Amino acid sequence: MAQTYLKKIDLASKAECRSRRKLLLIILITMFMSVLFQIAEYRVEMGRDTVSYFYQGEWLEPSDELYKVGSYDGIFGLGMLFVTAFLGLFVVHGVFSDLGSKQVADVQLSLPMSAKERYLSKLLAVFKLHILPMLTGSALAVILGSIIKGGFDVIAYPIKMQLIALAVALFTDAMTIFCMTCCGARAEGIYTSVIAQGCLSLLPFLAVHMIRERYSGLTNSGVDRISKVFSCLGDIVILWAEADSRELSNGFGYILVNILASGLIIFASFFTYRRRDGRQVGKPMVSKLFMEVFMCTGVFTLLLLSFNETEWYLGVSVSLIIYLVISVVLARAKITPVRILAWLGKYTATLAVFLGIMCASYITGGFGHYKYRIDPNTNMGYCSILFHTYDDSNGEVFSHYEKEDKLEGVTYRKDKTDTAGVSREELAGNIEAVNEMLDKYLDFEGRTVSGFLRSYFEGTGFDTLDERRNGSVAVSIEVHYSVLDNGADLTDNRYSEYVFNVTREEAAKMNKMAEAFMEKAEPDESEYIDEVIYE
Amino acid sequence: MIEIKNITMSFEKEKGDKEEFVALDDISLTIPEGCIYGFLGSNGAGKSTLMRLICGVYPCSKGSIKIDGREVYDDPEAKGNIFFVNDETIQYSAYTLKDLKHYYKCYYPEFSDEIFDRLTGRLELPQNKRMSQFSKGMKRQAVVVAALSCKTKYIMLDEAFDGLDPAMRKIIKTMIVDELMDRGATLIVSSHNVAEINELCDRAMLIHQGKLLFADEIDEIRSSFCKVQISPGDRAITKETAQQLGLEVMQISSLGSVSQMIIRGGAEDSLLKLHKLAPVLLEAVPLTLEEIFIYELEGRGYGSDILKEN
Repeated sequence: MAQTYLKKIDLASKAECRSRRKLLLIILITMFMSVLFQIAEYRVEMGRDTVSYFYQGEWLEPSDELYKVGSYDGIFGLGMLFVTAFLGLFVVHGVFSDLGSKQVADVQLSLPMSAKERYLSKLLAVFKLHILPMLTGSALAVILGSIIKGGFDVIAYPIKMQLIALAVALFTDAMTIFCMTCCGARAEGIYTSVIAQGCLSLLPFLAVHMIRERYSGLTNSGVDRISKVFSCLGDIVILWAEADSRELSNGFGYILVNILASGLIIFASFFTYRRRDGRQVGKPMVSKLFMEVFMCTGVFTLLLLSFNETEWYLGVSVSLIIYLVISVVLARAKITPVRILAWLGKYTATLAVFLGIMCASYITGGFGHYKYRIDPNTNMGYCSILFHTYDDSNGEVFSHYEKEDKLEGVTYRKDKTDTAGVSREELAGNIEAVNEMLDKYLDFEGRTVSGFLRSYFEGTGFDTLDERRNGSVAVSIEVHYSVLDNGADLTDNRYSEYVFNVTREEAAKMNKMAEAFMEKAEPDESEYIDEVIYE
Repeated sequence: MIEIKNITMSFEKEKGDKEEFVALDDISLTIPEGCIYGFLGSNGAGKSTLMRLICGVYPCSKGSIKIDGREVYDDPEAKGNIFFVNDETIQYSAYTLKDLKHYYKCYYPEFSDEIFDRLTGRLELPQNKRMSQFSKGMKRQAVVVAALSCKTKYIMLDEAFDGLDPAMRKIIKTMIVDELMDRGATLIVSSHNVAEINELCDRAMLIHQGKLLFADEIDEIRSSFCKVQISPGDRAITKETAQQLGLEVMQISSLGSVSQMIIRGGAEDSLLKLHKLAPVLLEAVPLTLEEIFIYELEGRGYGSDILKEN
């Protein structure tokens, strides 16, 4: 029984594949090119450590030890691999054409198959047409590349690159399937899947960086950790391609979760596919909820993407134009003045929600993110604190203090004999002093809606407190520290940077507090300006 | 046997529509095995919608459709008994005949290579040419050949002969009848061409604005309507006069002293009743299915606005 069922699905997938031979040929060509160029561009060289890090109580400096490093000397091979991954859009569009064409729906929906069987057979066809050639090509590229270049001991690196491409391919397929099941017309199936794929990959990432960090004045490595979490979904997984070839163990988990997440989208799409029948074919959007979420997500992403621009109207205009164009396309020929007004109303409402969220973030200091403090009880091996006050308008530095300590017993840099250092309590005391300064002077309670509007529409900076705008002093506190006894993460170096404004009187008081536990220093101006000038 | 019970099919209203569109309204119909059934109806009456419901492309909003006792929607076993040929062939444009054969072979286990090769050979259809390069008639032939080769118990052709020249129609019809008769399969065919249905089918139904007007054997349909020519002498005969005699008059027209009536009812019974008027002339004239189609729809106001304007 089960054998017959599987045979039926396999036969149906064969029928689909036979109908899409041209696409398969294109995929085979791009993959073949990718394999050839990947092998040609793959390099196995000897390299040295470039990163220093703590490991089991020791501060390890880049050693002279040489080890093998895998890398690609060129982008064509990997580029073609990602082009092949994105070709999934056309594969899915072809295989699931019953969702957007009445003629095809008549044929396929009348075939002796249930919706479940049809869906499974189509998935199998997508696998055979897209994923299988990719997997085969990737395996060849890795094995042949490693044999020819003699790099089996660093094989994890090319494997990671292939897995990233596979994750992108699966996400492309998953999003296209999902969008096509929510749309009833071919055009909508294509452009919504392209846009939704981009938005879903970028929006969470942008939301944290733009909404939370921007208005809290606090950047810390915790956010990078969140970025890693976001790489579990969408094309943002490509970020792992940049990771150092020795940090392999970190990326694999996230890439695998990303692949699983795409699998989850494909699984969820089955439930929308199952509800589809011939009646919805031809309608631009089958699900109203999907349409609203899609439009809203698109506008949010565009507004966030343009958020760094001082010309706020750029983001608003571009998103409005795209919103109206999509609305016109969706409405086909039925456009009336009332409908145009309704679209403008909807866009305005979306923009208002966006501004509402941004305003709430502004008033609450990144939804309370500014209240984040480093825990003094953290098991630190090393801690460096930099404190500056400066003029926000021209970068002129008023004061500069610094403090760098390591824990007693921890060897420092190349001098493995130097075990001198401070006690755990002293390190904790430094952090407590920083936290005390922050508790006293990092205060966003005075932020108002009008201040937000000025900040957003006039582009007057992102952390300016209303009443401190004139004649204020900018403060930057950077804390870099390393955590010990974390064998799971060799590069567990963390940092937090607080940037905010205070009055001149408050700056003077902060200087006194800094003097109490830090040393006054002349800043290296060029380096300093690079770090704190935002204009 | 295909049993259609009280089915209603409505489409969701779109923006600008005041209410949802009811394509079929409470239709009940039985299609027995081994017959050739004709679906007749005006444009937009709901014939194609009904066909899509029968083959499981649409689910019923209300009611049920069973093929050999099984609900057809989303049931592969029930759908395995039926093959639907819609009124388009564009979906096969990229296929060659070989592709078409392989495509359906994957879905219908009973697919017969022998029938496919024999029929395509007889029709001299090129095996390796893309169907986009075929003429309209050739495309139709190819799809009908595929349908026959699947050896399903029921085949539905939606306006399959439209746009074909008379010779081609005859070739396809003969081919279908020959193949189906051999294995006792059922053919359901929809067409605007009433004469064609009259010639090909042994049963027919008429649908208008989503409502079933009649469904029966064609001979029965014909015998349940009659056209009578009557000359009552010095008096003029009116619709009311005929209705007083218990006749259901669908249409009446007069030319001089001779009146012509289309009556819903048997010829014998109608003549018997009209004899009471002691007419000078009274005779029943044979009525074609096409006339029944036209009078039935005219009686329901179909096209009357256009006719009035003209």
